[in-house]
Amino acid sequence: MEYFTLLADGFLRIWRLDVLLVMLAAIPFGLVFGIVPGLSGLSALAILLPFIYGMEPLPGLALLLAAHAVIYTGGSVSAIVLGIPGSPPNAATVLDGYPMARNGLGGRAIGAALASSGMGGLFGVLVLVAILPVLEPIVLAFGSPETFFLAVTGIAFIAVVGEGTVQKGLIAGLLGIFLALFGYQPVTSVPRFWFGSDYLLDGFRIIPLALGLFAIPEIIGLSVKGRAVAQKGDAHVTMAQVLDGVFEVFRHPWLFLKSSAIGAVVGVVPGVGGETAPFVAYAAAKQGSREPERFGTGIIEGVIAPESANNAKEGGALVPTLAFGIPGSAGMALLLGGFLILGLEPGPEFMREHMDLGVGLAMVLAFANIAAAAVMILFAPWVARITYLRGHILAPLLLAIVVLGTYASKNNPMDVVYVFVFGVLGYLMKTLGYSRAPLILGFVLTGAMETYLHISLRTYGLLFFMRPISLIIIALLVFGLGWPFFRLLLARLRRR
Amino acid sequence: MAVLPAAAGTLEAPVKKLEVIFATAIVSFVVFVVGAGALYYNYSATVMRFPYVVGGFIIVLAVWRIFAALAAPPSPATPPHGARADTELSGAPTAQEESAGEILVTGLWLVSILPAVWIFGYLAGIPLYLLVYFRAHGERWVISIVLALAALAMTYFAFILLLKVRLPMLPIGFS
Repeated sequence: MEYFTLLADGFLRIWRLDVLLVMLAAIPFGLVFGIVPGLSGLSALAILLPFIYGMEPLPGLALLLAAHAVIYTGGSVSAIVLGIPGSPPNAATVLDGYPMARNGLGGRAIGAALASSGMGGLFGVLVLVAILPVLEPIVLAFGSPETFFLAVTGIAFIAVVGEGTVQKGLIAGLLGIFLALFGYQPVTSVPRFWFGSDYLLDGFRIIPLALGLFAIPEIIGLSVKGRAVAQKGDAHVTMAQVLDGVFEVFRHPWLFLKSSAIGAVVGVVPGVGGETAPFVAYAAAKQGSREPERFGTGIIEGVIAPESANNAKEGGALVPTLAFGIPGSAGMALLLGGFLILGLEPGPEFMREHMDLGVGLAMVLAFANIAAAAVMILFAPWVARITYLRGHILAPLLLAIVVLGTYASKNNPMDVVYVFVFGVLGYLMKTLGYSRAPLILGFVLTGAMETYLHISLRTYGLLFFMRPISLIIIALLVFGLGWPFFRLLLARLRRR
Repeated sequence: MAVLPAAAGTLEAPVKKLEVIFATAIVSFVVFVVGAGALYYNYSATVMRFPYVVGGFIIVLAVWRIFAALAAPPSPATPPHGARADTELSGAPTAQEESAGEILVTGLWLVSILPAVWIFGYLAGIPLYLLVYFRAHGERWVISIVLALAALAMTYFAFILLLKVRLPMLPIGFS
């Protein structure tokens, strides 16, 4: 009963004028950062961080959380219209969203992406609100070995799901892990493979890597092609198309619920949520489909699954952030900085003393998701029109944004140089049919994986994988990796 | 669904060559980096544990890839498996449609934004680059100038004034 009073109180608290105003300022800010490739959500949070000094806790955190919550909603539009994910977690949406846009179904894809983002975010909040009172046993059940294996499973799933062969997917995922090994080793702080370069002391950065892999090959393609991404009428996005896409989510309720649940659950696991959830949801949708071979050709299920998970994971990611002070995602790490600026220290003590604030933040997340989806649905037909621009015009403009956005993220000109270095890698991978998504996921998860492996070995020895949840995850991993072979074997047996 | 190695099928000759070169480059890169860590830097077992395991898997898979590519019969009419889906996904022309020369020239045009911002700074370099690019690609003067000025305005108002990014105004190293 007391908890329901807290929920009602939290709901009422977001209707304060100051909280509403900061959310209304943060939503378009986050959307723009989401739509423009290269301006990551982390940059948005970092830029907003200084503005919360002197604010009360709820409006201050609402400013950060509202911007953070809507970044992936905006990012889905550029993933669909341009084939360039607005932010790395939108990469899974490119797989089917972009082919849909090229088939003249961009409006439907955008509508479905926006609706599943908004409702997925709401689902994540419901999960957060439901498990806030019973948090500890859930998060504590995932120790270092389980988190390590979950990260490995995430990469393996994407390798299986990718466009090329399983072999190529695994090479890409492992290459991502390998690239992340440059720079200070997380356990010993030894500068690894730095080759006398100050830049490599901190290792390769995610923004140049993501932009090089995903943006540069697209820009080369646009420039070589010269003409528009969409011919007149191809990408004609009408409000009717967008609304049709919105209704598609209601026509696939189980897919939406399953993907949102995956997003929320994966989001709960510290350090894993970010880029993993959309790909795991995509893989689950593909493996559960009667026509898995249609995934990647431009089907609505391939948009609904990753986008539902994408925003749902943020509700899940708030769980460990609030309860244990362990960020569930990279964005949550910056949010944690916001808490500290405001004099709050998330953790079990915070849950006892400031549960009302925790519930208030859940409501902010819900409001931001719904408001952003509504705003984007209203303006989607206009946003989508950038595809009419000719390749010769769009390519250098996008390149300018990529260069500016990359430089702005760290004020380091070497980042811009590395965009082109990774651009060559991305172009070769694309030409040769290597999936680029496993590479980026492997890269993102490596730091946590290496740390968790080290802790696991130190704590449990070589048999660290013998814990029950670890064994379940390993079984899922083996099943996921072996699934294409099992299917082929079954198909051959049936033919006989 | 991902294509199984056994069903990798046929490869066009230039793509097959590129495939072998790419996989060889990956193996060489991994061997060089891991070798440097083990023999030059003499890192401890804790530091090298992950690189050994990951590098080992990469080498095995990439060598397998090289043999698979070499074993695949050439077929000029058939694009490589996976490449089809990927090029369709990107909207880029297929390898057959693009000549290596075209790609090289395009790459050089794109990379030339680096010397532009290096010499003129970000504020002037990007609009100048755009102006030259648009004109060289046949856009009218009016469109070229308007877009270059729009880029200048966006750089100044969005990045410098609004986002407070300290963009180098002068050549990098002098600002």
